[in-house]
Amino acid sequence: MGTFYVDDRAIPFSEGDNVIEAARAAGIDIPHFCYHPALGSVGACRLCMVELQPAREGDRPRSMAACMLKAQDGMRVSLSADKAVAARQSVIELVMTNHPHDCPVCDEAGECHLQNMTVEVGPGYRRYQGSKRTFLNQDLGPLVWHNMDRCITCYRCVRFYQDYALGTDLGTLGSRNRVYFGRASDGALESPFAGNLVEVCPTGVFTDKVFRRHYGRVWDLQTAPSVCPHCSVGCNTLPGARNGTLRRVTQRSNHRVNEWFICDRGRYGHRYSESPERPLKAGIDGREGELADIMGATADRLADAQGVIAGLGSVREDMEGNAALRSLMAAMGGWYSAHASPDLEAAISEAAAASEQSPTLNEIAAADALLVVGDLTGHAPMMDLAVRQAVRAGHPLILLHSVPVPLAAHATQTLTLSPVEVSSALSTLRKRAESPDARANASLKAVAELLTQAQRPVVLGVAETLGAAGCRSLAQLAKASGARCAFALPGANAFGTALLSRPGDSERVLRSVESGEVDTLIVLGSDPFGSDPGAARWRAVRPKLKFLVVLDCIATETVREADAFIPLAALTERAGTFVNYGGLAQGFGKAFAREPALPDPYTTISDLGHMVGLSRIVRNAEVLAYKYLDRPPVPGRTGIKVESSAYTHLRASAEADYKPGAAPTGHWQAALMTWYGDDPLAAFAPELSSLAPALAAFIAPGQGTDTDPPAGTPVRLRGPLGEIDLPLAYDRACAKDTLGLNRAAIAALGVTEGEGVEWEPLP
Amino acid sequence: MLTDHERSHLEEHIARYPEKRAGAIYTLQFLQQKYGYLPDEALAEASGLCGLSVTQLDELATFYTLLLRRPAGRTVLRICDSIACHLAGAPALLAEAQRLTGAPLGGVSEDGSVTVMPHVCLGLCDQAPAALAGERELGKLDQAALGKLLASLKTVEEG
Amino acid sequence: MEPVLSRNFHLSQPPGLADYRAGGGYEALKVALGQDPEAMIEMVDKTGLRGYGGAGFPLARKWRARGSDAPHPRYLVMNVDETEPGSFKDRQLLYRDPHQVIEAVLVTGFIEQADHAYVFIRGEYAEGARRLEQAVAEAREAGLVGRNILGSGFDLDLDVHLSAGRYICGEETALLNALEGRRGNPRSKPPMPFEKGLWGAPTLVHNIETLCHVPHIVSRGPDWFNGQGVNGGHGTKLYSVCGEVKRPGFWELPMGTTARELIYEHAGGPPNGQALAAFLPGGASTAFLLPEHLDTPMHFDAVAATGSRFGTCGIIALGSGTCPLDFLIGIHKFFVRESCGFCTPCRDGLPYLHSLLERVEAGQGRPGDLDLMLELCAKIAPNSFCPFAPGAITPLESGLKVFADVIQAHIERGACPYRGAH
Repeated sequence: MGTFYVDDRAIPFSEGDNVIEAARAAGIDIPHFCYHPALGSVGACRLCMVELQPAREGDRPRSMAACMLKAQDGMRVSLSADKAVAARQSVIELVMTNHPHDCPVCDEAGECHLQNMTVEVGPGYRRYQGSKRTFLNQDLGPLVWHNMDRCITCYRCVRFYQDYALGTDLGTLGSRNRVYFGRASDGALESPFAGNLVEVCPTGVFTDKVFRRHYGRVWDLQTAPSVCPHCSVGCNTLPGARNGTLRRVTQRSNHRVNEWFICDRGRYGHRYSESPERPLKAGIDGREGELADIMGATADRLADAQGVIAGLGSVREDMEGNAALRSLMAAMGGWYSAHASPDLEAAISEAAAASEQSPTLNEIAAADALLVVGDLTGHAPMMDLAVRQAVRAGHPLILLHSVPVPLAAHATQTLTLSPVEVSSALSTLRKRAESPDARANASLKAVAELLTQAQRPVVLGVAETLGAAGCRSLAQLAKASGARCAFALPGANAFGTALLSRPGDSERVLRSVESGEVDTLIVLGSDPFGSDPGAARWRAVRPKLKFLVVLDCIATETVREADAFIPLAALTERAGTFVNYGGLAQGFGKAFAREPALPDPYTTISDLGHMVGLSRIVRNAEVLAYKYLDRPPVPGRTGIKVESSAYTHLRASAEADYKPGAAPTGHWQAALMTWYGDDPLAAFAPELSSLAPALAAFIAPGQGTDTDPPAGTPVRLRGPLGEIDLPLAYDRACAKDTLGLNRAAIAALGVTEGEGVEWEPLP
Repeated sequence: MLTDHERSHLEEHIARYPEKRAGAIYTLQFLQQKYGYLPDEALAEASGLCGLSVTQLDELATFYTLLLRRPAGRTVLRICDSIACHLAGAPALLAEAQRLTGAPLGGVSEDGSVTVMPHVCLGLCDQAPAALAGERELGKLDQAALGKLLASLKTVEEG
Repeated sequence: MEPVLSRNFHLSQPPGLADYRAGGGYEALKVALGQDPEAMIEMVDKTGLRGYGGAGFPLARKWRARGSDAPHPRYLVMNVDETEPGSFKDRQLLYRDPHQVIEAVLVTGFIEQADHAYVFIRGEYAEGARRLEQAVAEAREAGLVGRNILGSGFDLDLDVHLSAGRYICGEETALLNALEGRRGNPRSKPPMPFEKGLWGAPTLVHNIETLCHVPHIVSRGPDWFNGQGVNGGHGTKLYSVCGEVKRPGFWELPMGTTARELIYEHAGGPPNGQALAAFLPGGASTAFLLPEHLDTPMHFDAVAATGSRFGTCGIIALGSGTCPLDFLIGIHKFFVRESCGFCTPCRDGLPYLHSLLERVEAGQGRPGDLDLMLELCAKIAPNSFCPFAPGAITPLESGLKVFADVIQAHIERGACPYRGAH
């Protein structure tokens, strides 16, 4: 702690601060390029030159880079000294010797740090008359556009890509003024976080390749503070729209969630809202019509459904919409659940109930020992990025997984186990943490010890693949080890839906349709007749439904099955609330309206209620939506944590819904294989989806008594509720006895993680 | 493809360092000796041995002067053009080399025998103008000697 | 003067282990192994031995900065990355007497109580690296390298590490990055390599010539060493002269020998009736000295007093018949090519200067060009990340001032006054 001086102004600092950081905290922005708060200081650009006054009488002042200069008590630096000003101007002049005069046609203009610094520092004219060095650009895939002539060689891109995000396929090539940031050869960038290059690059070398196809100047974009709808982390975002279409999404800082970055699913998944497949027209019984008319016709039919109706909400729909549906069902004597799958409902309750002390991303990054169970990257990519920060700091990462996962490359110890073995391992670890004499093999003993001896251990799991039993085991293991735990939940508002659930909701809704008791179903933002978990049981009961009403903003199988369809505003076209994995409720704002405008689910369902003669659902819905918050969260503010009473409710639900882990039912166990771009909305983003891994059934090689069938052999998979054909593929990182299957295959077969599947090569 | 013997030799060398990547330069030089330059396949082979991705190896290959990522002639003739050799006529020597080989600097002569490149000070300043033909050090390389040298390189075999 | 470092240079092949020993080789090692490292540091301190790789840092001070309680593992690195234009002395030590190099590493390693040694050799000296590896194999077999050296209980193994090029790798922190298998960018200091060097461990990096003196100091004492010098110099030095002289070459002579003696007596002075216009005393990255400085004793302090730098003491002579601007471009293009590309002033400033120099040389110079170049020089050197750019700017800035009238003549005439119109 101490005080130093910038041009005689006293600036406080903490031990270890650099001058640039401490000055910034005090509101003095020293010009810089290569310094970045998340990436640290390297001293490459030399723009942040300040003059350091000598400590000793008679010594000369020295030019120092403020980003590399550690603040010391009594130190005096000058920003305004002639030499410092000249040094900074010299840097601008030098980087501008090669910089093309692209501003009028460059995507970055208007939010270009180089522009800002050049205008702020000067000079604004070029006296250099030599040639400019130029480069050939690379095709880096569908998401990031490459233009190397604009480069000022600040190294931020590779420091983000390799140092921060631990990527390996973008690097620094060449030397001197021909340094080139690119790949060994053209090809799509492999990192799930590659889109952040667009943001960290201070010029237009890396720009949003999707945005540029339907471009708008940043000052023309309509924006509103928003929250990412693609997973349960709830990163803060800033969507930008123009002329009634959404053009791009960028990150927005919130230290309680994502401080600096977002993943590519969040940055590029928004394209579902401009997809040509997006269902924009309301319809009933096969005919399209005006929204008001279709709503009226739907309401007429619903009026007859008192007592024989059920509602299915969604983990990817907001609190308000889900609460409105629950209220409507209550008023109509019907059942409601937000979950098509009772197993998933139980897992979410269990996970949410254990999340009162869950760590934020920054707290995960600060862990000194980590246990990760499952494919964190595929379910909550930004949690993976936070884990990488702890790994960078040299802390151990233990990974338990059943299918190939990106974090395996960075784990200190990897246990590749079938889903059943994962369950068993967690159980052993829990017992070992509770009682140090409990039996365990050597590697599990070491894991247990690592967690109990760490100061800030963190345990992370994926609720969807752990199931309720696995979540409970993991939570107990965390508690016994003194670790904080968090779960990647299957949707932006999965935690929120758990707040709205009562024990047994999901099973009750399903049974009511299976038994014929209910013949009318309203589905909000779910896909029970397509690929949602639990779809196999739902598909079987479709014939029993006389009237299926569907509200959504993407063209799912369920939308195609609808008798009445009401198109919804996409998430950036309305305001609402999501509650993230840690119980943080955040409001997202409406960035723009489409022409013609589409409604949000809360309004639509309330209107339906009105039309059916039920007006009190509006008030009830509001009460329900914000029940565990002391006030509704405002978009753009940091968010509101749910109250402790929420956890009492969650624990009760979890207890009531609890399903113990299933006994192994077959030699081959199903395991969900996903990837960072995989969520129902992002599946309709063509650029991102083009990077999806090939569809296949994955197994580890060498498990048969005979030779393995060749890769690509078509095989038929048989599950308890269905069949599907897929090509066979091999990956050493699959566990023994494990079949890695994508979401659609799992839904078709009607299995949960670890359940038995048979397969055989097709003749 | 590296033979098993070559692979174990490299593994042994890499294992002498506390970190695998410290053996990357040796591995790349070895592969370059084998293939005449570093094609993509060589980087892929080095990747498995050194624990670096192909791009990370390319970061090294494109930084260090002696590593070549494009095909070269059977002999790489590096003619020094730093100050002592510059004063002794290196620019004219380089121009003459291009004329005699028919290839630009860095290119491959038509008969595949030689690639000529300028190079920084070779530490042979007392014998300027100096050059390296492969690993052979040459001093006092005047125009006549250059002509003889290029002619002799035509008969040098691969490997 | 009795040859010390160069005593075996006259041989057509470097001496093998037996011949090296026959000439007294490895006796110094025996002496050292029986002495207290602190005492030997004191001996070297008394000689004032400074680094001969260009930086000139006092060796004993470097040892004391690391201290005797530095954690293990401790690394010793011998720097044979000699790429400074005009410097070719290190080559001689490596190629002509590899066992002397090994003995230097072993004695220094013992003084430093190091755990492992690397000899970092520039890739272009591949033949020299092979000779050294052969000598190391001989030495290892004889129990001179490896465990329990000569029964002393001291272990030190030695690896030869051949680089793949790039002048910047001679800068000690860039060398560490290169050795670790990274791009050869320099590191920021602090932390100093003796705190965090190779793989985060305490590391000391030394020039080959510097270390080759250490066994001799240890076995014959500082007073003997100091007595070898003249004009205030201590010890002997491998001097070299190249450029525009009749007999470019290298000679081991008393430290403090004058520039006049080196350039005229040993190297024969400029050829073809030319006068000496100027000379760079310490390799390409030093400032010009003029004929009036010829009587300067060539040791660190005397050269510094002239305003230039001793550096590697590879003298480069410019004759009166050569265009100084051409000489400056010949020097400068080396630095433009060898910039690692990390920091703006070096990466983008040096090519900017190059474009101006070429423009003037081609007869396209403009009236403000000289001032512009001096302005750029003044902004590049103090603001860069590492000493490379200051090393590039020093000869240029000095040359622009010393030869200002020649530069102006190019500009005014639109042609080189030494060669006539283009």
